Amino acid sequence: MWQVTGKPVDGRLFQPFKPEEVLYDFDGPRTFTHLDRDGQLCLSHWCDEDHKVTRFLVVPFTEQLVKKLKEGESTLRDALNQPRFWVLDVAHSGDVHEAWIVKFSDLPQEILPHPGTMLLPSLEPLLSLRAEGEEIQDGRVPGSVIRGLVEGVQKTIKMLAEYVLEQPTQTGRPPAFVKRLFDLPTQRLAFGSFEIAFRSPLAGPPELFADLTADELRQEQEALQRVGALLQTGLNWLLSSQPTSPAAIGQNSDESRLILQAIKNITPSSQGPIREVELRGALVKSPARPVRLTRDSRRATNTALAGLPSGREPLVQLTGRIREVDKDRYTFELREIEGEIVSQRFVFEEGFLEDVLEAFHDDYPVIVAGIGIPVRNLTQVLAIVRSQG
Amino acid sequence: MDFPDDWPAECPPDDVEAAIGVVYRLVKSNPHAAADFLTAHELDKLPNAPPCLRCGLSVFRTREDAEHQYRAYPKLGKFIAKGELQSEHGVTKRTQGRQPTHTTWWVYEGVDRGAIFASVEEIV
Repeated sequence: MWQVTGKPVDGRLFQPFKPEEVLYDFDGPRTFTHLDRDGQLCLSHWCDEDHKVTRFLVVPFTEQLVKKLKEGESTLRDALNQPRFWVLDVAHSGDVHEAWIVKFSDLPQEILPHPGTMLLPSLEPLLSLRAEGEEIQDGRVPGSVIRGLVEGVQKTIKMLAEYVLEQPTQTGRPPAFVKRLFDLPTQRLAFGSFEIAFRSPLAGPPELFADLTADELRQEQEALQRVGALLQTGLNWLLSSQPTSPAAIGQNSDESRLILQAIKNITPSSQGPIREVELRGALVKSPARPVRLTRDSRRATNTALAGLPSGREPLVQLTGRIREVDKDRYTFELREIEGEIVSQRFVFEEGFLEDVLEAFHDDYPVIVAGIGIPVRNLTQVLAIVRSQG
Repeated sequence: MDFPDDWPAECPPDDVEAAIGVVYRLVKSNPHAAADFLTAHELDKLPNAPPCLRCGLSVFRTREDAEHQYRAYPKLGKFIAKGELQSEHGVTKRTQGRQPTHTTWWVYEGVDRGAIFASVEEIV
């Protein structure tokens, strides 16, 4: 076993070493709470053993931290990173054999839970992003980093989800699911190097989904899996040492363009403060190792997009009246358009919601500028103003 | 097929099933060692744990659970052993608690556990 670097202390502080609540059990308790001699709550986490002793990492803990650990708001590593820290060698008889007070930073990395690992697999986030860059420091994370990551993920998911939901097999989606999918719940924030984790829109207590039938729930899971599959396809292409032609990423050139545009949103800009983004989570199916996206990833995506047929998306400016607003999907239909087009569907960001609803309710004409996205008959709103005509 | 004589009375419990299906367990090396498949009872560990559970071996029903376990407890081993249990290997019971696929396997005496786990893969 590894050599403990720390100051020996009286192990009787932790006697009797008896679990209060077992949080993870496998061949016996591996992670559990217990009380020290003074009745204070502690967390113990198995880290190694030999034929004589089992070694645990022990930290002072609170009920609130237990709740965070059990609900996936804290990783195992974060839970263990407490101001006071002990290592205990517990004899197989259950008696504390030796104890040391140590510094978390002195522990060998190979015995610690991997970064981002939750207590249980079911608590792993849908998607977690960690941004690195020279300007990203503890307590000094530029606001643009936070905004860029959050908006990037929302755009990526929304773009892929719009595509999936447009498929003929994906009709009749309950509005609540669409809203949950387009505005993923935040599971966890960490500010050392900025990290944000998003929970699955289908995770949570059963009462959250009480209004859904088993069939609806299954369809929602399938839609989410399809979104994940598209994202994974793009990431596999981006990280491949011998990538195929960009046109062959998807099943057709429209799908290829969609996938590339979606992953572009989560790659670091060549000029911004983020140097690298680490992706983890169920959606990218890479639990053991994070997927790393760099500024080169953005360049490769841009080059691939430029090489696709009709790689430049059409800019449009139309004047008409807003009809059929979908407040869950943030889409609307523009009709009574000046010119030859009868109607055009637009997708918009939340910031345009007030303008859209006002124009809809007051029924006045608007000028909408937008850019086409590779989802059938859908244009992204860039600007919207009241027409004086 | 019998269980060892030194197990507690009424162990395994009544509500077990024949050991059927694929299971996964972390091991420390490839090829694995006999020590990778010993119970707390055989290792003379956890004297205060429930006596019958001490005689069983924990396994998972999905590879994902085993991969997660490696990330949570890296020193348990970075190899996943996969085995297909048959009824002649013993009995099992889902003992999940908060872990949905956690299964306790009570092994018949004389069963070569290592031979069941013929496939071993390193987690990358």
